[in-house]
Amino acid sequence: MVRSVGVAEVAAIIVVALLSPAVIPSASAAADPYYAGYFFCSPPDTACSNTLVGIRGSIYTINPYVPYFDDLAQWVTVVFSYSTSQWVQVGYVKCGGLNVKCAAYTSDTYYCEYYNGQENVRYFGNPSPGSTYSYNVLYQNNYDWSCTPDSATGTTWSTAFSEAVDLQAFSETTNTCIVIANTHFSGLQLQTIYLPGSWLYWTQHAAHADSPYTINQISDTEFTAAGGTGC
Amino acid sequence: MLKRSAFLATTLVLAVALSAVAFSSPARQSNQPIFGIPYPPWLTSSSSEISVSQLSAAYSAHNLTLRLPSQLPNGFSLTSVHVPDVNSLYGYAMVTYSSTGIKDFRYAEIVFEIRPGAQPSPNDLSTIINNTRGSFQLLTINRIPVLLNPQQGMGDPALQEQFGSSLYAQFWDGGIWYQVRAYHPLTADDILRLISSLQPVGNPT
Repeated sequence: MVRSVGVAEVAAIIVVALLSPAVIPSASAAADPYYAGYFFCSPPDTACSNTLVGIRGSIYTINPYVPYFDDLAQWVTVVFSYSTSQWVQVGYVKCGGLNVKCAAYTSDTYYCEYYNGQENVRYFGNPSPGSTYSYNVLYQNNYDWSCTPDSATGTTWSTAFSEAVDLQAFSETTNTCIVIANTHFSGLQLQTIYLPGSWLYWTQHAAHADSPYTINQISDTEFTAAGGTGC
Repeated sequence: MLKRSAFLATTLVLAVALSAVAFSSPARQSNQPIFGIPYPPWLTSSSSEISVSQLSAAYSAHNLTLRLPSQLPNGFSLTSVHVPDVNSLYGYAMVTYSSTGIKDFRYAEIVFEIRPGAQPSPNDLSTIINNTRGSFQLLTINRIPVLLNPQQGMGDPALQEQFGSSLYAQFWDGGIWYQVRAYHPLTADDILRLISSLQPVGNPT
């Protein structure tokens, strides 16, 4: 009976399949992240010239549906270079199945990533959905930066940098169908080299949200975000 | 008919799965980040653009002498200077150079990221080289130590796809931290020539 399947039918199936990313949103959207959150360096800028050596923030853990091939991450980051995109980032991620980036982490999982032209990422324990945890990245010495998700051991990255050019706190998705309702960042703080050991609340910010996501700017140190079309 | 239906269904499922993976994953190369960062709007906004003289004056007010290349590759010119806040110029700045008038730092062929920053000690430079496992070469240009990576991976997948790896250098001069990124076909020698031609810029007013 198998021989009764015509070549034309098989060819038609393959053509349909090759076009399928157009009808599989998770596959077609995966290359284009969508962000909602805060930049630190922004007008009116009164503090960006300080030597920035740390970021800390609390993030409420959400647990939305994440389709195959996609992911949600919520994080705080110290940025070393925008022209080459180098940074240390800590937060949590939830990956969809078959996502080659992080397929093993289909439930909320702490992570820390250092990108310096090469990928360096480590995963830790699991935050509980519905709970808020504090995350921080902090310069230590000898160009080492500690990266600490709350209640997990974290890690230290050895880098080429002793200060940051900017700080960020964002929700990131790879598909606009992921619903980020209840996203809540609070207590955004920084450290400068002038007051080592002292966490200072942000006194400025610039908000950014890619459609269809929205951001509610509560203060320089706190925001909520929402949106997503549903998958 | 059952076997025929099963064959068709199996073929369809396999083809869909394979094509979905093919379309979603290969774009990410092994040296690219798992997660990302967005770019702040001021980096590309015309309202965040200032003159190099204004930037130089802001640094002079803090007793720092801003120096930029006085000799550029043929056809290149300085195309833009962007800062986070045009009312507070001292701090981080993005300076672009292009042979085709590009002001957008993502696409300009040469970019200088500038920020106040203390000179690392020789031990610090050794630490950086050790930390980066050989990515950087340490060179000295006019007594300025320069860390040069001729094959810097780009964290932005779109830029990595368009330009491939870049040339990247860090150096510190007179209390200012410089990061330089250049796209091929510019060469490491081109970057070193830029650094060797550093001169105070602008007429601070």
